[in-house]
Amino acid sequence: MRERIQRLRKATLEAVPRLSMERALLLTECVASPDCAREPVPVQRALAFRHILTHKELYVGPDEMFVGERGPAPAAVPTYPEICVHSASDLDVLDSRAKVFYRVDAEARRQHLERVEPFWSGRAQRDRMFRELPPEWIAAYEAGVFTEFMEQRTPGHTTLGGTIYRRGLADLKGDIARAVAALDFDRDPAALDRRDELRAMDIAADAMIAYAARYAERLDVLAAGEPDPARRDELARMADICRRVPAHAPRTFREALQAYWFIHVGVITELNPWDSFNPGRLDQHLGPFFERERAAGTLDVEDAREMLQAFWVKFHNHPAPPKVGVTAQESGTYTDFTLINTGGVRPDGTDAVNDLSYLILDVIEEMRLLQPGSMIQVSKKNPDAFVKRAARIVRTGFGQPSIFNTDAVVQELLRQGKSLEDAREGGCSGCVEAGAFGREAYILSGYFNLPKIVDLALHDGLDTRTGRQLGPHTGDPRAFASFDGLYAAFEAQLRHFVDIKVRGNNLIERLYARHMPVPFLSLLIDDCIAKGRDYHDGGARYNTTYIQGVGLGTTVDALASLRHNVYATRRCTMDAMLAALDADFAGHEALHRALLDDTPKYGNDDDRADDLVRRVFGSYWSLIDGRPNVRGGAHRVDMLPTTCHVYFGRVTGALPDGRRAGETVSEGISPVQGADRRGPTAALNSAAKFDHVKTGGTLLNQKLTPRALAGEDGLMNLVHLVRGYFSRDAHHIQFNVVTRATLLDAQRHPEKHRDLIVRVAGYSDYFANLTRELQDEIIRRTEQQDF
Amino acid sequence: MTAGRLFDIKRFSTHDGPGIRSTVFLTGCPLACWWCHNPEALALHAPPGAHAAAAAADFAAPGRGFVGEFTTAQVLDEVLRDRPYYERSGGGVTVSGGEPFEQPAFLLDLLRESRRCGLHTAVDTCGLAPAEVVREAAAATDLFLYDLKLLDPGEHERYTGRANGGILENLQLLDRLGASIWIRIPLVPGITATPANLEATSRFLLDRVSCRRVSLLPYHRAGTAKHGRLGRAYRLPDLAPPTAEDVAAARGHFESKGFTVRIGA
Repeated sequence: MRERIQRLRKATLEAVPRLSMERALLLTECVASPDCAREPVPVQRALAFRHILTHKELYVGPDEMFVGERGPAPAAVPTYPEICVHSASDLDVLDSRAKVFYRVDAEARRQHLERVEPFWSGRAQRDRMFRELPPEWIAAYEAGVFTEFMEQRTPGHTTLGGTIYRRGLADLKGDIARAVAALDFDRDPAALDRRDELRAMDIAADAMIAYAARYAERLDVLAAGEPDPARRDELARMADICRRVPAHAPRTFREALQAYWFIHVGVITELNPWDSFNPGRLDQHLGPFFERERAAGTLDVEDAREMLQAFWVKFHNHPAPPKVGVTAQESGTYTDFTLINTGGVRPDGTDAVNDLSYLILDVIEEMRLLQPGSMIQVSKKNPDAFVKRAARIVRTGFGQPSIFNTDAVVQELLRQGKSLEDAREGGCSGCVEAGAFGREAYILSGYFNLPKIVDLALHDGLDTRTGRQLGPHTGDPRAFASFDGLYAAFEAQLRHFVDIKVRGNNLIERLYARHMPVPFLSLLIDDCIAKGRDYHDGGARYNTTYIQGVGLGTTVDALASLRHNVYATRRCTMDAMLAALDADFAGHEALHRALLDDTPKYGNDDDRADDLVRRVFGSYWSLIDGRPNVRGGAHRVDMLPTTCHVYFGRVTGALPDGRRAGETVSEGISPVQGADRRGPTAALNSAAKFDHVKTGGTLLNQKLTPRALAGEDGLMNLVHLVRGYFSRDAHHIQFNVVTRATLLDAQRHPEKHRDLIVRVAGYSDYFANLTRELQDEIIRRTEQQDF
Repeated sequence: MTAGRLFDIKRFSTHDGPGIRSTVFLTGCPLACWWCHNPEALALHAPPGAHAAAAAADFAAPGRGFVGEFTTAQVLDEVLRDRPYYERSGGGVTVSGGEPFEQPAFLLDLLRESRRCGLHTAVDTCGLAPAEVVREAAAATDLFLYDLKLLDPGEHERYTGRANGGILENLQLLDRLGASIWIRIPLVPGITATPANLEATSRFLLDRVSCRRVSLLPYHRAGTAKHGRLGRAYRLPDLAPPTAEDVAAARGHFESKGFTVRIGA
């Protein structure tokens, strides 16, 4: 690694996240002005975007190769008061909490409380949502049956396609002009809305071009004053690049990277979408530039490597926007979920792995940063050598890259109605979410607490935590003559809360379409310009709303235990089971032991439990899949938790699998922590027993001992595990390669393990950054060994 | 359909032959090696009775679902679940123990049925068995993992309870039959890992058989606690595993004679 990259890497690792009020103040200044207020909503948003980009501070750090920062400096994190306005106590919590803190200095605090909070309080999107949502939604949300993704962050989960590498914003402005010219004011009742939206997009495009021009000027000034001739030349060259992109299509590898980065900064400045933003198939987009310049002899591989490394640092400079309350609990991390895709297939279905794919894997290994996240797409058409190269990085034990099954993802997207080429150009973003890159608004709406549904079904809809009747009356479980009777109650509770969640989603998505358009993001996603419709209003070619199921393993084990112990073997009566649950197993130790150690568990390739994974998934899926959303698309399911399994565990009572009240539930589709005891192939077989192709993503964690991956044979074992799992159309797998002893030592002596990075669920994080509960959860996961 | 007595099936087994495998552990053993790390193989082989039942309950801990009597079909049902992993990795099923030849009818049935399902078959054996059975097994076995512990007959009898004449004869028989064989040598300090024994072993192999692949299995103490749980005295309570230098010396010995050497597999 070159010295400048070492310095950049060190600086970004040492940057302390702090709140910057720059964006909030500029936003407020613009929106409060009469000139802005008289405009239609999309234009107001575009004007605010322009105002921010026109006046925000520029940052050019020493050694930097690419410019553009969301805040005035690295790790200076803006707020988004039009979405969620923080209270004074929120600022205290952000500043003082032990993990994932954001420093709030006195000046920022004063600015916020005097100028930002008074203006936005009551007008923020979150306030609007909570005013409009019905009481049953609020009750379920407060009880922890589901979370709401759009309460503090905006619909995102989208990934850029290849457009910007072929066409500049000036070209897109041409498209806008043509779309405006084609508006049909004779017959189209929405023509005016479309014109407003297109005008907003045009303003946003100009604003970004002007922002790049500001950087060009600044770089010229810096070049003029630079004593070092090499750096002077570089600054001048960077200025030229900023005059070229993103207004026009990039011509070189370096221009392409800078073009993407300006776009990225634009999207995360306009609003705070989930998963920030994502270049997606980086090896595919940059591959042609790389190959062309390599052939022409104008690009040295080591220089390309350095550029990618400097590019990596830019992502790492951007911690997630501050989250509080439930949002902080469901996603308690600085990671903001950009997920670089490599590998997979080309639009014609052929192997997409290229030289750049391998160079990107080198960069992932060398940089060893939490952000950007990285993954490989593995198709049966990709060579084992590629998977093996990635396995070598996985073995170093920082949870990256995660591994995805392209052949399953393509099937998932086709099932949802995407064209074959759009499916093949897609991939996965965020944690594990499948999408048609550049063409789809696939919005995650919130986590859904499946174990809590079992809890409710066992108590006739009563929330044992609050003593409140939360769900419908589905009957006293003592009266159920069979497991099917109990399962019917589970399904009835599930239907009730899914219905509430879906109705809430439809309301919230309309509020976003109406009040919070994103003209800049809309520029970038097909077919928003052609339709003259915003990304938040069905402008994308494909529009999907996901509800993410959490705790599948816990739910299956709880139901399997009831079937086995109460109905099949009659080890105990339902009455005895309920008594044990209500006592949190105190005084019921013998039964508790039997529930833990002598009851079928999901994750052991044991059909006495695993047939229920098909049934529970089937119930959840059939209640959600295909239900229309308000953007012309449909609801779908995926199965991932981020950190929500800890929060959901906290609000869920004791369950028949032996889990005590408050304990963390299972994550993703992984077995309950420690319940899978028959080795990794058995766990993988269990996880592949339901049809992943019907989802938009599943998440499976496996923890392996370093010994199991030792040597060349060990690496190949990992490759074969992945290939074997994927042969069953499984979606995703990721590995922690670390011993229990190391984790325990890191818990006792965090100072000795500052650099220890682990895979949580769909992302990696510093072990020291995790809450104690999350640390414990990862320690409890089964450590798969070889034999 | 025959049935056999098992004390485990381990999946994702990666050290008992090539690729990812499932290893089926059969009870029973004609030897009683001082360093034995699977003493339950003997204890659980006893006819059903109080002692065996207690031992079975003890070893049937969660996740060890295969303690007791199972039919070939039941074993295959478990083993075939991992077929996708075998097929990609060149793995399959390994029958081990104990000593699998102690249950010859079940062993042969399991090997033949596994073959019929297209699985790669391996047998991990100490080699002490009637020649006829060995000959029959060879017809259904793709690879033998063949233990050679001590070449000196007296030493062999002292530390394992049986002489080694039949073992050496069966190895030559398998070699004549054209079987694939990986030799496995436990490195027990002061007992098998002596210069004299290693020299005798390599000379025997060079002189008598064509197999040139040797796996060295460094002694480990994993079995110590099991002896205690079975209420038996462990005869090597203070023995330390071989040092890295010991292992390197043994490796060097075989490599210098032209063998391909693997450690621990």
